Amino acid sequence: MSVTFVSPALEKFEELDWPVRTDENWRFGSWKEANLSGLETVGAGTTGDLPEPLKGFDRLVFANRDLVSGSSDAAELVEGSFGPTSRLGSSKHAALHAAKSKHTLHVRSGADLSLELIYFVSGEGLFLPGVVIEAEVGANIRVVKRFISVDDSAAVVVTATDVRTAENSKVTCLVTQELNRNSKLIRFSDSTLQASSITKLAVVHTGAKWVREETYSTVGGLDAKSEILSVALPDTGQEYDQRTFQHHGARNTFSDLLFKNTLFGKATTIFSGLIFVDEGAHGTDAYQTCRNLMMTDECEAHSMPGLEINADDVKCSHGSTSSRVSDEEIFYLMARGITAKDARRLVAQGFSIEAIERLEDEQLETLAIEVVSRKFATIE
Amino acid sequence: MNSETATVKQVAFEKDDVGNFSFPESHKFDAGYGLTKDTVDYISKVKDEPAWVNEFRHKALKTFESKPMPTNWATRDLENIDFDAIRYYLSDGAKPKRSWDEVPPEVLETFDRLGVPEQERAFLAGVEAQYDSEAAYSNVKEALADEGVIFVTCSEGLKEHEEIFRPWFGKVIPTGDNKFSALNSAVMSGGSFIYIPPGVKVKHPLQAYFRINSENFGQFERTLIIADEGSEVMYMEGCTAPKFETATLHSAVVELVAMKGAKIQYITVQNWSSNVFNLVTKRGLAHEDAEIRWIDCNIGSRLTMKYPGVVMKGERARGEVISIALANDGQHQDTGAKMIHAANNTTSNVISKSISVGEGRSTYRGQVHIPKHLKGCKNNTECDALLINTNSRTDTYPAISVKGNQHVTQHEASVSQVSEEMLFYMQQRGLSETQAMSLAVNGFINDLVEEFPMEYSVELKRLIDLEMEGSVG
Repeated sequence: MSVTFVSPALEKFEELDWPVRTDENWRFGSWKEANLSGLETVGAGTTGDLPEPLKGFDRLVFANRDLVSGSSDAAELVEGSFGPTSRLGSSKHAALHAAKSKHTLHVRSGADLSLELIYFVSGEGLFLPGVVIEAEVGANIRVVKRFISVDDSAAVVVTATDVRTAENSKVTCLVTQELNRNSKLIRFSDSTLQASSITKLAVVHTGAKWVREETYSTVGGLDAKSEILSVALPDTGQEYDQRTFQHHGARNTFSDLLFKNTLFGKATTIFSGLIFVDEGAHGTDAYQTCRNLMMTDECEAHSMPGLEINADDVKCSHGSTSSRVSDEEIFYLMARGITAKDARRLVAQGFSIEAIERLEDEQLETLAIEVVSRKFATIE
Repeated sequence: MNSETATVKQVAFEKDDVGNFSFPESHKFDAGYGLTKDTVDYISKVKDEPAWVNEFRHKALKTFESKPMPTNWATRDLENIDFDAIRYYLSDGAKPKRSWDEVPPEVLETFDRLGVPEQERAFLAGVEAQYDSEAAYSNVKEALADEGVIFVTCSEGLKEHEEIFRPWFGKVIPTGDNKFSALNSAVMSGGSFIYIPPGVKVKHPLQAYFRINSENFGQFERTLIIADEGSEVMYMEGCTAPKFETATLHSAVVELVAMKGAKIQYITVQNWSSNVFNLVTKRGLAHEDAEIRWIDCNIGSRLTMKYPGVVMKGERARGEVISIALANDGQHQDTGAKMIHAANNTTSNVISKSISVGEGRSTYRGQVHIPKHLKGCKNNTECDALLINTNSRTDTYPAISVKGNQHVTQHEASVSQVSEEMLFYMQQRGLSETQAMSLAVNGFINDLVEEFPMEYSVELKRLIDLEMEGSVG
């Protein structure tokens, strides 16, 4: 007689439903894209051309789920998923990750650490990478994580990152999403901050046909500071759906979010953000800004900036704008001999860089600008 | 006790007095508790309505029954409404009165208790005073009638002015818009119908006073205002209600139609007692060059859900919502605005200010929609929240959809509190803490209060002062 063991995560995954139209967390979103039923996980993959290594960084290269080269004293592969949770609408996908992810990269350091993770994605099917970054007291960790497609097949990447900072530590993280136009990405980015710690979590989206991103930052310790940055450059056939949550759970905490979307062709972006201030979290400073630069007459941007404030003595604000490059700016540049097309690109590039500069890390900024420029070069 | 606290006590006493009175109910028509097909037929029969209205009601009832409560996005407090414990129609059957002398003494007493000033009463000659489901007093100034202005109850409008009424009735807010617009469509009674002929600019604001004074009795007014080409009108409604032990439901539907170049301003001061569910659907349709402004102030009720909207259907149409909300202990003011741009070069503006006192909760919910292939649309949204106490709560949930690069939208929101420094500064100059707080709050909303007609803004400031009473210290 044989016994089949079903892990609790798999059971939970099967219990949950895929998103439906009436889910408030999927308002304006393509809930149909989120249905991944019947998809199997991908097998072994291949590597592509390796980008220039970043100076002073430990580099780990993955081909789909396998580590193919590199190592770091501060990083270790642990079997299974760390079990991400979704509080912003994709519980089913979080459970999927928990049930089926092969291993988690556990990064832990109490000192200076620079780590570059390259994920080469190939073949059709599900790919479920997971990373936990633990910054111990006094640590200064920099992580670059790149998702690069090797071929044109329709991959579905469900990725989860959990950043945990101890007192007086700092984590700077840049994720670049350079997948092919047939792929989908569902990304969970969680961070939990202890007292006097700092996180700067940035993402650059240039690829994929559909992205759903859920960023949840718990600013839980006195004087903790969380920055969330995003630069997205969608074109025709691309939809980026980003949901964020800035959770202030302690006194005198700070958070700042800046999202810059430049929309080309028939691109669609959705931004839904919430600043949530717990009862008693007095002295909170929280900001949230989403700016959409509309480059064509056919793109569409949905913004839902939100606030839920349960404490007084707080400074919170959010702003959201949608507009195009102003004629004056174009005129000014053209008067100096720059063509209209180049002028528009210059302005748009400057618009994106404003968010990138907030990283305050030259190496990461250079990389981000490089990825952004590459996208601009593909646009007519 | 110094003279200042004496005045405060006195004012507070008056306030309680206004909120707590009642007088004997004598209703000739009563549809009983609960809502069935019979209720709908009963209302139709009493009101002697044409068959199409009865049919309209029945259809709406079906829609109401089939629609779920919107608790997937709205507060769960809605689940506390017991639809079977509500009386859907009450009327003493009196025909609208023509002069003050004929108005029943109880109603006059009501106006007394409301504190309507003597001067204003004279002005009330052009007033539609609603008492329970029917207008107990209705007298349109002759001058208005001479200009061809129609200002009647909604039931009168649908019977006697069907040719103007019917083409627009239920067109701005279809029955199935939401659960509560369907409910209103099924059991509507009372409300006004106003028609302003082309080019007529109504000088005086038209007013209506609404009152709920039967326990468990929900009021379901239906108002339709049509401003024909190039006309202008300002309509004001103010609501107060006595206190009752059990919750009451108020669910109105207000439709505005501004034809080419017309202007409509709709002003509301809502001060229901704190057990009333106030679930209102308000929307205006603005044609070419027309302008619709909603000026809205919510102070009372247990839960208010109200998002006045403007559909800008014609080129260069303009929509505006100016909103003040004050949420005190046990209150939730869930208000906002809906701006639907449906033509080129349309502009909309939303300015919302909310104040949360004690454990009060105020919410802003907004929608701005600019669809494809339009040019030159502009939206500006500003929402500011002021938190008075440690347990006060405020939320903001806007949604902005823009398609294309020919538009400009901007949204800004901020949350703040009255700073200690500001209070300290004012107390240094001899103001009490309460006075200082009151001054700070009035300063916060001052620029919006100025948008209200003078007599309203004075009343508004007084109401806000009263609400702020006891919130500090």
